[in-house]
Amino acid sequence: MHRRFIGFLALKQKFIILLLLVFAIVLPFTIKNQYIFRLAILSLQWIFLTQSLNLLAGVLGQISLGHIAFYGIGAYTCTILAKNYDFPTWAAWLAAIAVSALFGFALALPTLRLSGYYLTIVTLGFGEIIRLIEINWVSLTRGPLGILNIPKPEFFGYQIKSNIQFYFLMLIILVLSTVLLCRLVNSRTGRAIVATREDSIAAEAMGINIFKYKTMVFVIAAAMAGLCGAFFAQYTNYIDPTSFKSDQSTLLIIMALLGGMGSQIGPFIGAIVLTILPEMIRELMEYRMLLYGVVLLLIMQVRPDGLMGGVNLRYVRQKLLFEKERSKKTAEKGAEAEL
Amino acid sequence: MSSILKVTGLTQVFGGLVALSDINMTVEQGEILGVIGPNGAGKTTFFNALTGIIPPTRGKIELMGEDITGIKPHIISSKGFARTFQNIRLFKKMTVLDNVMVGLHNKTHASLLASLLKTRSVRKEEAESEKKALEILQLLDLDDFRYELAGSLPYGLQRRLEIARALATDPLILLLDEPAAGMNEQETEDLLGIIQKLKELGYTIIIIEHDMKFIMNICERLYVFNHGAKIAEGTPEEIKKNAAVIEAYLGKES
Ligand SMILES: Nc1ncnc2c1ncn2[C@@H]1O[C@H](COP(=O)(O)OP(=O)(O)O)[C@@H](O)[C@H]1O
Ligand SMILES: [Mg+2]
Repeated sequence: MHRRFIGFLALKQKFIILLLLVFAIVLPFTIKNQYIFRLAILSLQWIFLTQSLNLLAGVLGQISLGHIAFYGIGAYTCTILAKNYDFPTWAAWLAAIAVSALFGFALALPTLRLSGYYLTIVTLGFGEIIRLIEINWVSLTRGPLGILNIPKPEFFGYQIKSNIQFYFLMLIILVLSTVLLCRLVNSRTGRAIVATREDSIAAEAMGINIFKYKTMVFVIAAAMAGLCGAFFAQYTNYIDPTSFKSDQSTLLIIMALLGGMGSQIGPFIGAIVLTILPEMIRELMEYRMLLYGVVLLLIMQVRPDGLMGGVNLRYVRQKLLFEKERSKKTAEKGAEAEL
Repeated sequence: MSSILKVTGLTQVFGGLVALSDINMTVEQGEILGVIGPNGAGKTTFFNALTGIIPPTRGKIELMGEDITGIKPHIISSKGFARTFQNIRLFKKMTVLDNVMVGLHNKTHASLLASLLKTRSVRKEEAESEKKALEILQLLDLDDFRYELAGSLPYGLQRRLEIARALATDPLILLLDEPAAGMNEQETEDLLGIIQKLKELGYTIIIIEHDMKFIMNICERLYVFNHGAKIAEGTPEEIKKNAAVIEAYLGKES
């Protein structure tokens, strides 16, 4: 069942993407309820965040337990610059991306010596350090009080205020990131990154500077999360350190795992399901973490790699088309022989 | 003939264990050289030192007159060493084609930015490297499997794919670490044919192998290692008669 479904997805890719895009564009015009709107925007945002973690954890294979820290760094950078220093939105966003990327670079440096689980522990520590800074550097972040009344984004005179505007802003970011990530993964650079994940010693022996590619992925993933943080801050109007706690990092990992590490569709499935599911059973909000645990256990039982784990639609498509062509050729040959 | 590889005094010490001691070797352009010796003799360690995976404790490695001792493995690769591994190390979740295209890494130049923009030169380069990779796969009779995942191939084909991937780096010297290990008779015979073909194409190859028939068949010159030291060197005929070699393999006659 699953295989045939994947085959269908792979062959009808363009059509399905078009359909989903039309759905995503029409959707906001049908939403009347503020709360549902917020959920839709949050879903888009979590997809984007999961994409960034998936690049690091799925494509490069380096699990990070502190990824939400970059989201926090982006949110605080943007907020402080836009609110206290009147930075125009584009500059505040660029700064948020740059500062997160810089921290991503710093976190990548230990990869020179560490890898795998050891580095995962470092990412955990990194996440906690950033959170402690957010809480304790009161003169900059106002600590647990948080920062209120964050200015709305404005791009060259066009202000983003309404839900629908925020929705489309995030949708545009997401479409762009999806296109760019697909291009990245299917490029010379992407092959080098996947090869590094699959076998770093063989990758080096094939001439790949694995340190360079690991660093590159850390920087890109951090920059993406930072951008998402900037969006989040200006969208919600208020940030405090509770939005960037380690259980958010855990949630992010569960989203990536549920969707399937390393797959480009995985983040969509994982993030949407785990943003909406808990909301549908709001009464059980206190048991949210428990719910995540149950979902994770179920997945590990049924499909240990996640729903789309290990699925590369490009590969599936190439193989199916190649086999089709070959069977056509042999059929033609058979027909010739009969004549 | 000019020698393309010159190894002098290569020594590798792991803690108290001397895994390689004072190895000297010269390799001529276009020759097929065999390295044999009992298990644990230091053959793989020798390859690891040459390719920079574990830099040697002492000694000097010169490739085309350039000292490459101790530099990073990915740079050594671009200088002209390519290898296969005794315990197969393929990129299992990548296709056969993509494995070979990874081997083309240093023959291609698309930057991250250009790839994201999918510029015309990037598309051209991708098409060209795909074509190049397919040619290599054809040479090794693997092109029918191009879209299979490397990890799903049968054992013998996986070993062959490792050779294909190594060839993609366009090496000056190809290092094969027990390429016939675990192969059945048919697969071994196919492999022999492939190495013959590579020889005709002018490749310089160093082969580590246990299978005596195999190595006597294909190599013009043999080096014999035992306990990290080179105990003999010569043509297969000379080696067969060498007393030290017989002793290393069969134990001291009493
Ligand atoms: N990285 C390493 N660390 C410690 N000892 C090693 C390492 N690599 C190889 N050795 C030791 O060096 C000796 C030679 O091993 P190896 O080169 O693999 O032998 P061969 O390939 O000839 O069978 C063995 O005793 C092995 O245990
Ligand atoms: Mg060995």
